[in-house]
Amino acid sequence: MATPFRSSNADSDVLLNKAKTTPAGGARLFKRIGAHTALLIMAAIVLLPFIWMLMTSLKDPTEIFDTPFSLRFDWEKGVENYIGAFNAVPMITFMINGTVVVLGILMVQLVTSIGAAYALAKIEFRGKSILFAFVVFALCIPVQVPALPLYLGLANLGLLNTYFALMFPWFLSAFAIFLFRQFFKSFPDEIISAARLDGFTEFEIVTRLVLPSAKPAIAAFSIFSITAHWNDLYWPLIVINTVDYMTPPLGMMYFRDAEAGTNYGMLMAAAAIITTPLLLMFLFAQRQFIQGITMTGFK
Amino acid sequence: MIDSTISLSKIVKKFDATPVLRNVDLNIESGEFLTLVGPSGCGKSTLLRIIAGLEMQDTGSVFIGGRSVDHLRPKQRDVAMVFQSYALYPHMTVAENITMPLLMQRMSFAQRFPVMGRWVPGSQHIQKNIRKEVETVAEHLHIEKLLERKPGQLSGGQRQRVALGRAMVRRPLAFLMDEPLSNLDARLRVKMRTELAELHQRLGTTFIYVTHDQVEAMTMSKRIAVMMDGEIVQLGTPDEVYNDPQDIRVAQFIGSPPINILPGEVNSAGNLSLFGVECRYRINGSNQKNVKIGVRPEDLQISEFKVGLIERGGLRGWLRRLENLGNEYIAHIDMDCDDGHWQIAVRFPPEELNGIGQPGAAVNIFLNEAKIFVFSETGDRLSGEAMLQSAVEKAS
Ligand SMILES: Nc1ncnc2c1ncn2[C@@H]1O[C@H](COP(=O)(O)OP(=O)(O)O)[C@@H](O)[C@H]1O
Ligand SMILES: [Mg+2]
Repeated sequence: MATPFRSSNADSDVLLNKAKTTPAGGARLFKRIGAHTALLIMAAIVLLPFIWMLMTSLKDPTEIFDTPFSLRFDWEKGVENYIGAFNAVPMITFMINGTVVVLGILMVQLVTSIGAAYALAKIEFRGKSILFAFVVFALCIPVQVPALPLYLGLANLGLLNTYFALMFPWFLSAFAIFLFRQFFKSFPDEIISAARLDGFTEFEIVTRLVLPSAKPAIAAFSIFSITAHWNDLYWPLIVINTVDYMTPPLGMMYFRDAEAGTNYGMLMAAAAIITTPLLLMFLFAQRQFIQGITMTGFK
Repeated sequence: MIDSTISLSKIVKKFDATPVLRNVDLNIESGEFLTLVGPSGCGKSTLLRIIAGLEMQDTGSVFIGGRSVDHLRPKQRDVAMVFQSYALYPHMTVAENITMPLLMQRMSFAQRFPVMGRWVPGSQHIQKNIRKEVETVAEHLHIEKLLERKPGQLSGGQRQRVALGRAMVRRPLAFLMDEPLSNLDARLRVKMRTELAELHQRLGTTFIYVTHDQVEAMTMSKRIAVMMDGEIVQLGTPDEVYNDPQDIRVAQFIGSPPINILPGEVNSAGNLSLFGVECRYRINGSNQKNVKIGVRPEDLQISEFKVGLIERGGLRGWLRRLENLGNEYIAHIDMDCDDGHWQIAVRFPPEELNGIGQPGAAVNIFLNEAKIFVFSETGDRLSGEAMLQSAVEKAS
């Protein structure tokens, strides 16, 4: 998994060096400008909806449809939109619900998957390969498949409209088990043997030795998990119908239906607000995240 | 004195269906330095891991200090292991690495719990004692200046010392060393060899030292166990293993350049001949016809070719290459006979060089029958004796 990232870096280094040294540097430079232009255009396409959202949130309702891409902002109206978004619906409640749910899910996911992944990677026991095959199999099942039985179960237990209902289906993550298992596999066996001889319990081997080396993988998975569950609309829509437990995306829907059906400025302000935490998180964890998905473990 | 004998009784281990250890018996005395040597993949590491309790044998028993330890977990067996890769804990400093075994041994699970453990009664006092012992060990190994570094910041030799420190600090009954020097460069390896031997003398504990390097095996211990294909084929002093190999694989593995193996024939009277030339050697009570003759490079004599010498039992060969090692020469000789083509190495001191040196030149080779080993086709040693010159002459 490391190679694609590594080699693309190496390639661009080669390109840079050649551009400086060869007589045909001009042509090279041209190529590079071309490449960057192409990349910039693609980035712009990806970013467009996001920028549009920010622009819309800073405009007067009349201008939104007349000149959607004009750069004339009405800052006062913008502030009003943002304050309005907070007042029109319990935005703070949505954010707190979202935080509780994503952190709750992440904690349980980490505890369950790290234990399972360590066992699958480093402990010999009968039936290990079959269990691992099940994990891979579980990766292929779309979330919609178990939705109905889960809903019925939660409804029968009277647990709809709770945090537990929001989190429960995600407590076990096959993806996390798979990711961590691959990462732990590369942890040297001799270190684990040495630790067993020194008297570490298996729990201490995981927490004191394996986990510190797995930080990038944990960071990467955390970002995947937090983003996915912060943005999830499908499951909250099924199990929640009171405002008190709505997560941000569900809250947005409720907002559109109930209060601000046509007030797109305010709607976009609300959308910007709920995206901010994710953006900040990604900025802080960027390096770890990239390390994690390129799987450059350790020597 | 503490009993730190280690005994293995009929150890068998298979991975899936592949037998890796077949019926290994071994007795190591208290305080002995025993070297276990054998080619890669012969099961040395597996045997050490079974002694340490990291791997379970299929059948057979391990005794440490006279009691069976088969039901004990690795930490309860009170042995320390040094690994080829050193296996230092990568995110801990050198001090923490050496501290860990003591921490795990002396503190309860609650006491050693990170952060919280500090408030569990007794933990502070233990911590202080441990710190002192770690410093003592570090001084012994001259790594006291490195205590705050991480393993990644150390050289190979330094890591090796830290690994030794971690093994020593809890004063185990025995040390198991799995090719501890093989990742060091040649010069450092020689130095560490001496240091390990001294360490053994100072500690007086049982050492089992695993290596695939026959030079290490020959120089480091009083007894060597030679292991081949999951079996201990010979156990003895370096002298016995070199001068009295009981198996052709032992003869081939020990010694550099390796022993020459030549095709021999035995007639009905038990007399041995090599390339059709009769030797002054008789096999005792064996009905083998074709045998293998092992002769070490230094037990052959070489001289310039003279027709007359052939009649006196010399063999003819052609010099392919001559290596000058300063204090000795090694001649590589081609020999052709009815059975095919053979290459022989001869080792001799510079005084005996007289005239040898032209590649392609014919040379005479003489066998010293008193020093040859005869093996059956399956590789077992056959007993026999060299006949004195006078006896041969009388017979003929
Ligand atoms: N965990 C294992 N699973 C399967 N085969 C193994 C395992 N460990 C070792 N082996 C096999 O057992 C044989 C002996 O290995 P080892 O004891 O490491 O040899 P050595 O240390 O002498 O080089 C090798 O052929 C190796 O492939
Ligand atoms: Mg080995």
